[in-house]
Amino acid sequence: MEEENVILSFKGIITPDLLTSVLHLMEAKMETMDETPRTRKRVFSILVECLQNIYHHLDDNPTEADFEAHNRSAVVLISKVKNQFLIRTGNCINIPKIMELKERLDTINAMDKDGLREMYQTSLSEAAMSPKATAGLGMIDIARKSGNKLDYEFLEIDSNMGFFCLNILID
Amino acid sequence: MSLTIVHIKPTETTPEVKFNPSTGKFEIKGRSITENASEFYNPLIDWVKSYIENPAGSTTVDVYFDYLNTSSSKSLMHLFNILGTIPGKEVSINWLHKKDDEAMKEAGEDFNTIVNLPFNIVGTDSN
Repeated sequence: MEEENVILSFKGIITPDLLTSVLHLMEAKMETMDETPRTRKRVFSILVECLQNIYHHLDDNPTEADFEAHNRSAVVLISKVKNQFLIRTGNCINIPKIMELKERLDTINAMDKDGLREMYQTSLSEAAMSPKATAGLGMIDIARKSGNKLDYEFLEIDSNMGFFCLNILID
Repeated sequence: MSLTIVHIKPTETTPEVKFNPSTGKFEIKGRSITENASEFYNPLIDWVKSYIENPAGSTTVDVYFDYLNTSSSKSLMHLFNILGTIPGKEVSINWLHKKDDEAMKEAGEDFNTIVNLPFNIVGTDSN
C-alpha cells in the first residue's frame, strides 16, 4: 500500500464560514510543511475551487428532502501521497444532474493544456456577459492548475440521489 | 451628482479596493477568494456604471492579486467590460504580480487575451 499522510479531513455540512475555516487551517498547516511557495499556492487555489464547487453545487435548489437526508453534507480529504498532494471531495448529487456534470468533466479531460486555456478564456468572457452561464469555470481551473486529469466517480445512493467523488492529484 | 471615493479594507477573503472618481485611479489589491464574489463586486460594478457616465480624463486600474478565484474572475471581467465602454476608452489596466507568482501571471495573460483594453502585465519584486 502506498504511504498516505492525511493532512486535513472534514465531513459535514458546508457553510461559507466553514469554507473559510478549512482554508485558513490548510494555509496554516502548509506553512509548517516543507513545500515551495509555488506548491503551497497551487494546493491552496485548487482547494478554494474544490470547496466552492461543492458549496455552489449544494446551493443549487436544495429541497426539504435534501436537508432531511443530510444531503448537504460533504467530505473533504487532503493528503500527501509520496510527493504529491491529493485533494478528494465527495458530495451528494441529484441523479438527473449526473449526466450533465459527467459530460462537462469528460470534455475537460479530453483537452490538453492549450485546449484548457482556450476553454477557460472563452468561458470567462461568456461568464461576464451572462452570469448564469458560469458553470464549469472552477473545474477547468482545477484541471489547469493540477496538471492532471479530473479523476471522478459517481456512486448510486438510491433512485434519486447519487454521490459524486472527485480526486485531484496535484503535480 | 458626484461619486464618492471607494475605500474598502481587505479581509481574509476579499481584497482592498480604492477607486477615486476624480483622479481616475483605481486599485484592487490582495486576495479575492470569496465564494460569493458577486455579493462583494456587484456594488463596485454599480459604482463603475455611474462612474463611466462622467469619467476622469483617463482611468488607470492597478490590479495586484495574491489569490484570485474563478468566481471573482467573472466579476472582474464584468467590471473591465464596463470600463471598456467609456467613450474614447482612456482606460488602461496594470496587472501586477509577484515575479515568481506564475499563477497570477497566467491569470493576467488570460485577461489580456479577452479584455479589449490596453493591458500591461508587470512582474514586481516585492509587495
